[in-house]
Amino acid sequence: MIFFDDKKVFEIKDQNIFLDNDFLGILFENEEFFPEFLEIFPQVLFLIDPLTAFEFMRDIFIPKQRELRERFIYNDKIFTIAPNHHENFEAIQKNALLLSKICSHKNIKSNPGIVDLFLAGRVMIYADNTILVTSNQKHFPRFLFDVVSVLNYVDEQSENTRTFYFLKFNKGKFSNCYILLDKVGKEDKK
Amino acid sequence: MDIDSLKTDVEKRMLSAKSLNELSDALTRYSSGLSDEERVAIRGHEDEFTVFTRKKFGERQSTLTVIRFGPEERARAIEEAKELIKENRKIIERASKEDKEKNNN
Repeated sequence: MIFFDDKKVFEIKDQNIFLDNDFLGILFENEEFFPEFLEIFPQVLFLIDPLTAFEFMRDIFIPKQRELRERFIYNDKIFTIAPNHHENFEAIQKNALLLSKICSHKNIKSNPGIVDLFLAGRVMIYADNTILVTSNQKHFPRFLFDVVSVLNYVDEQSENTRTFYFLKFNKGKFSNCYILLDKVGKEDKK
Repeated sequence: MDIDSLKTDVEKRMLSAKSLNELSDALTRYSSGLSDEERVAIRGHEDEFTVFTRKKFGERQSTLTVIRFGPEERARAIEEAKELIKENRKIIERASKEDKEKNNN
């Protein structure tokens, strides 16, 4: 059973919604959660970063399992893989490196991995109209992202509750972090 | 250009496209003559399809990708995906059972 603020649906539905690999994995594990989640956003085509797609497919060596995953993720009525042109890849890579520096500068306990950094780098480009759904909020820290909404899923069999975050990249927060990071270099020169 | 005729034209192209890539290519060619206003007009018909423009993704050129997901097609896609999830679970359960048996032996 999903608990989600209905009012937020109107706010979110016209945005580009990116799913991270953790969330995608959970959708692929649960045939009850999957349709229930899609019902909330009946007209939304969920976006997947090419590196998230790579992560979803990696390490799967059983051919049948690989085939099932491919058919799931490349279902173009539900998901679409974000464009991966050379032109935007360079910008995303630049953002990812910058975000990694900010995270290190902030000395956070759980540094995001390369796939999360690239995903954040892409979301940063489309910040004005993009939401990121993840269960791993720590990899998309609050000094860069705002929590727009939270979705809770109660698995009625196991009675476990999972929480998923709808995050939005905050340009203002980023600017503040960037100014502080920039000062580090300048202080060194002095 | 009249919005309704634009919509119909786009729908015809969607029906004739065999794959999403083909559709994307067709619309890329089609969109080259569209003005910004007309592109916005296409986005207005989101109940039937969504148009992503490269412009929307922060790039200089305007390329259209149209992805159709009418309610029936979407429902069918969800049912198919549910079957994939079930099949995947069966594979995992079978593998886990085999592992247990190996360990017991």
